[in-house]
Order: sequence, then structure tokens, then C-alpha cells
Amino acid sequence: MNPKPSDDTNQFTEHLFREFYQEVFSSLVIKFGSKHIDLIEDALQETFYKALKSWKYDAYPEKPKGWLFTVTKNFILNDLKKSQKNVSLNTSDLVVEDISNIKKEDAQLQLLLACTKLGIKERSKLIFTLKIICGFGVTEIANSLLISEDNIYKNLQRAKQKLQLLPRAYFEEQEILKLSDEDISYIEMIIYFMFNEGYDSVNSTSNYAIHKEICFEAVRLAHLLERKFSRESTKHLLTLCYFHMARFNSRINENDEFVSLRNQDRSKWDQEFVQIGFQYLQKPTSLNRYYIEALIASIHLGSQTFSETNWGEILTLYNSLIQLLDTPIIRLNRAICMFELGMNIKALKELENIKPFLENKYLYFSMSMAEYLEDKDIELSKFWYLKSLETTNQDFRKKLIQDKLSQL
Amino acid sequence: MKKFILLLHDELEKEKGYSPEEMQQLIQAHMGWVEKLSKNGSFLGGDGLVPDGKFISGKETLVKDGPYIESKEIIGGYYLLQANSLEEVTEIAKECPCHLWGGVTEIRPIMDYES
Repeated sequence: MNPKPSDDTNQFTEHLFREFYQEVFSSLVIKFGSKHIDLIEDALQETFYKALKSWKYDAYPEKPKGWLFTVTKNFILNDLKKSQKNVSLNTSDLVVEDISNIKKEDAQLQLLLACTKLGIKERSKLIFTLKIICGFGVTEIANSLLISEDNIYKNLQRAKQKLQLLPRAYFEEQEILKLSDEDISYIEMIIYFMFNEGYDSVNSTSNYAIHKEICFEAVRLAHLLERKFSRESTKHLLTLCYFHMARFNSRINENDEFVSLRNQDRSKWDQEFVQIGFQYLQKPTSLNRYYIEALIASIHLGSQTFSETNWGEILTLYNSLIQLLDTPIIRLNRAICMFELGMNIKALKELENIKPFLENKYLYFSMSMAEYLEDKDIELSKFWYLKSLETTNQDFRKKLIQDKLSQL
Repeated sequence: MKKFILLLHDELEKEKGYSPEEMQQLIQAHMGWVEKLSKNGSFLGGDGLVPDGKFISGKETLVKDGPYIESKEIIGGYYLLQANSLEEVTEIAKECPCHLWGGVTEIRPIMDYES
């Protein structure tokens, strides 16, 4: 359960295959260029399939990672030979061992940067990143983002075509050193987007594991970025992610139900994550959104009970956050502060304003909102339950919501 | 003790589409199962089968490529097991992890000429 990148070992580690994919895929793209991306992807997939076909019958190799590497290499060499007539490489280029010279962490950041430059929608970038940099499968991505598999395939196809059109220079090893501040901010943004997709779109405990994995992946990439460039805002992003992750275990109860912040068992909050978060929290030279959001999270983490929360301070922080970044979700969170401070009329007005801008994808969010508003505004509470009903595709949950609605 | 062969019917397309994580989980589930069977003595061996093969038929030994690639389901491998009865081995085979992923298996007792 450690989101930090693992060291090189020959152990059959918990996520060996996905980690292998992450390291080898990006290194191979750097080595051979993005036009061979399909070939590289196929070679890795064939390698895992071959492992599945042989290891499961008690033929497990002593050095699994070495085995995977040799097999991938052979698949690539064979595929390249087969397509030799349209390959511009000569065979001396085909020494796949050479990728050991490529810093695998840099390769991943470089590919991540390339993803941000593709001129496609944010969500498409996220899908592509989850697939090629994090090594998630199409089904896994479809389940966690609540998008059909067909849609994911189409997205990936388009992104791949765009990536293949990027100039070779993008994938030169030294390129990574030339990242501008803007590039890094952009990478931070996609990492945070990824984290939030994992954190907010939780739709069942059966998928909960994969949502956590997406969060861990985002944090892993943030660590890579922080180690490479030591930027203040990246540190704050890490703090924020760790503070959010500290609450993982209290967000869903044993009956597969969401638990809103008010009702969470605060003793379940992970103090180790809180500590790691604080390690990266330093006073900024200039304000950034991650810093403010981390401060807000720290106020929640520092409150013994929901009723002890210092809402006044949180409201001030939300006000300065909105100066930097004005989104419906942030306004919605601010509205909660207003309710807690007794500013009901202002809060309700805010909620009315942002209603049309919220998408139907945040089930956790709409459920919490509905529950939260039950004793404040029944009509608005009903609105959010109906919104939740549109969002979920699970029958048992639909029933749960309908029961709630009939009680209101 | 009687010997049995447990044939695994693979769905090629479906299996090839698994994510790295799913592949690993599937392998680890099988490894755990084999380890358990080795401990209690029911495991004798097993192998995966490569999908490409040949069909040879009749006196003319007509050779054809197997229809394997086209077919949705093929025998992808086997486990050799031993147990006291077909009922007992059925219970053992039920735990084969491929069922968790929707797979189909087939148990065939190996003919015993001595009994």
C-alpha cells in the first residue's frame, strides 16, 4: 500500500506487472520513438499473456522481472524483423538492453509531458495517462471513470495517433531537463485531476480498490516530479494528496455505504499519511491552490469532532482559493462552510447558481450533499438524491436512494 | 488414488485483453491454488498449450492448421491431479481460480487398466 515507487528487485511484488509496464513502456518509447507505440504495447501485452500461460502451471521463474524483460525484448525484436521493410531503424539500434541507460523515472515524466501536449480534452489526456503511463487496463479505466469501454478505446486511438505525430525531439532523453515552469504546472494539474478522479468518483466498494490505486498512482507521479524538480507547488500537491488519503478508511462503511465527513469515524484516519503530508507542507513563497486546499484539509484533520471544526477559518481559505481558481466544486464546498456558519440564505443562493454546472459523475459528492441538506432544505436535498439516482447504475444503490426519497 | 486430467477452456480474446494487474492477479491465484494442492498431494503436474497447432486426419494424413484461432474457446492447458474419486476431484477442481474469472473447465478421469 505504498504509493512511492519501488526499488529494483526480482521479487514478485504486489504490482509487479503494472510496475514493469510503467518502467518498460515509457523507456521503450523514449528509445524507439512514439511511432512504434503499438508495437511496444503489443509486445508487453503478449509478454504478460505468455507469463499467464506458463506461470500458472507451476512454471514460475526464479527472476520474474528478468523473465518479463527477456520475453518483451524477444517479442519486440521479432515484431521489428517482421515489419522490417517499413522500419527505419537498423539492427544495431535494436539492442533493447540499452534502455537500462535510460532513467526510467525521467522517461515516465517525459511521456507524461508529451501527454499534456496532445491537444485533446483533459479527460482524454487522463485516460491516455492512466493507460500508457500507469499501466491500467481498458476495463479498469472504464469502471473507474464510468465511461464505456468502446469510448475508452476510441479515446486511446485518437490520443495514440496524436502522440505518433509528435516530433521525435520530444522523446530525446535530455528534453526532460528543459521543462518550463508552465510545463510543470501542467503536469501537476493532470496529476491532481487524476487524484480527484480516483478520490471523488468512488461508486462501490468492489471498485474501491481500483480508485485507491488511481490515487496512489497520482501520488507516485507527484513523487517522481517532486524528486526531479523539487518545486514548492509539487510538495504542496503531495501534502494535499496525503491528507486526503488519510481519510480513505473512513469514507465507506462495512455495509458499502458512503460516510460523509460529518459521520466519519475519525479514529480511522491514517496518522501515518497525515505525518507524511506535513513533511511536504512548507510555507510558500507565493500562494498556490494546493497549499490552500492542503490547509483546509489540515483543519479537518486537526478537528477532534465535526462540530469542533473551525468553519470561519475554512471559509476564509475558500474565499482566497476562489480568488485563484473559481470552479463549481470549490463554490459548492464553500456553500457547506456557509451553512455551518448559519449563513443559510447565502449558501442556498450559491447552490442554486452552480446547479447547472455540475456534471452527473460525482456520486459520493451528490450523496453527501443530499444527506447534508436533509434537515436544511428538503427540496434541494431531493434534487441531490435524484442527481445521485441518475449517476449510479447499481440496483441496490438505486433502491437505497429511492427509499430515502420516499421518506423525505 | 486415481488420476484425473483437468482441462482448462480458455477464451483467447478475453484473456489477451486483461490488464497487467488482472493478469498478475490471475497468475497469483493459480499459484496459490497449485501450492495448496501440492501440499495436500493432489497436484501431479500441468502445462499451458500454445494456441497454434495442426490437425492431421485419415489415411492420407491430411494436415490442416487447427481451427483454434477462429474458435472462441480452446483448450489452453491442463492440470494433472490425483484424488480418491471423481466426486473428490470435482470438489478440488471447483476451487480452480479460472472459474472466478468466468472460465470453464472439464475433468476427465484417466483410464485405469488395473482396476
